[in-house]
Amino acid sequence: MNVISLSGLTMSYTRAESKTTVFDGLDLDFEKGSLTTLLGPSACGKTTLLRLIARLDEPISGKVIIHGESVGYAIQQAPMLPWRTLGENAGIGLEIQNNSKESFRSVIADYFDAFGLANCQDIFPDAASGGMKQRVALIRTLVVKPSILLLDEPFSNLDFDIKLKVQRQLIEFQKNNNATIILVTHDIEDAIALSNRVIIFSEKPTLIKREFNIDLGLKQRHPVEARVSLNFRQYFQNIWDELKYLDKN
Amino acid sequence: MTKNRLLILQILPLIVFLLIWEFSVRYDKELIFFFGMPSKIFSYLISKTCDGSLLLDILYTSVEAIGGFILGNLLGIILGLSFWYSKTAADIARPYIIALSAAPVFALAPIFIIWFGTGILSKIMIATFSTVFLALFQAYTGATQVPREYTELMQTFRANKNQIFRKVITPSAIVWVISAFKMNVGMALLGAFIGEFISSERGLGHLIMVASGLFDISLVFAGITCLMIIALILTTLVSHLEVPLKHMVARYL
Repeated sequence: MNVISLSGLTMSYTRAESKTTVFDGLDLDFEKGSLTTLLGPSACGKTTLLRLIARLDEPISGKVIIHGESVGYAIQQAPMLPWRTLGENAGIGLEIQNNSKESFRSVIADYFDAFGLANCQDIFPDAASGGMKQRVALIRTLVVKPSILLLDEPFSNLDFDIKLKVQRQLIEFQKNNNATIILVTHDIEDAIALSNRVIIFSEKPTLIKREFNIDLGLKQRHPVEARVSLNFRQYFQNIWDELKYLDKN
Repeated sequence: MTKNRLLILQILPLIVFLLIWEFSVRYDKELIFFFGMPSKIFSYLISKTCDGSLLLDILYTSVEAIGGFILGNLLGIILGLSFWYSKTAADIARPYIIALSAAPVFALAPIFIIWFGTGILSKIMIATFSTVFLALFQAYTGATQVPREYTELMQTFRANKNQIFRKVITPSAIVWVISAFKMNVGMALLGAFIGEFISSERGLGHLIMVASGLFDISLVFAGITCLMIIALILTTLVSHLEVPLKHMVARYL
């Protein structure tokens, strides 16, 4: 069953008086419980697509149909409200959703522990590293348990060990909530390790260049086991073949 | 450098300055009349503290400054947020506010004395007037310059307009106002002092005005010393308010 259907999606924007067409009649569906990674050249419209699904932008024409109650979107910049501590920032979604000021401290604490942020709840954002803020932004989105999860470069500031930890949590979250996840990344390895579908975009106007269904033959998805599995290199090679034109200059 | 060593190095120039001052005027009555004398200032500070009058003056001036500071900042936040809410109101009010904020407090102070009497209330009002504009500008800027990511973040959680106002716009305005506290507390003190200087029965402004009328320069300096100490204490105090106030904003908004 498709939870997200994009049909005839057309989007363009005007910047410095020149009009850029991002999408020109894009059709794309996402299945319930899938994890899809969008790969492609910089500025090909991956973030624009997430913004359209999150309804932060409206398409010029075409439709975004969502069969699901809640969409969670972790914005790439991981914005933190500077007057709130990390813990209070992580709880803001819960506050809005429940329209309440009760303390979600203990709920948040479990997430902070699991994401390697134990005892970091009371730090203010200006004293936190980029990696910490990125994890808090992810927690902030996960803690409201959205059925559709949009993640824009959620691992870009994370050290390798922390990244694996976060990815394990993400897989766990998806399994427990049967969530549909769309992940934007530049990292081919992360794409293969996490997703069951990888979509490669072309340059603008963006079209689907190629699609891969990933099956690593694992009983359960695991960020480390995926990386050492037999098929991993082959997928990497195939995906790289589609993207290596970017390496020209 | 350790904290204690820094403190000693900070106090050292003051002591040297006071010693030079003391011994260059000490043996000449005329010089004492014109420049005052540190030992005399000191003895004034002691005797006036002992008879309680100096503490009362300090209390008056502090209460006026703090009262005006609180009122001015609250009013500034309320006005700044209202102008964010209605852009038309902001556009209409802008020239008046710029004109009013440019008017010298010294010129307006007598009017406040006529309206609110020679007691403590008129000084609080003058101090309020001295602080409200900076607070208003800060609050308005904080509310209007909220980064787009913050509001979009709220939209991703399906926040309604009231929630965005409460959780992003208002805190941002308040945080901007807090960041100007250090500057504004000086304005409040100045406002209270000007009010007292023009007409009052108590306070450091009153003390200084009376002392200068009597050509008692040492007493004037004693009053100025107290003013500076209050300024130092208030500035330190408000700089320590930043974190607890942020916590309050996050807890209640």
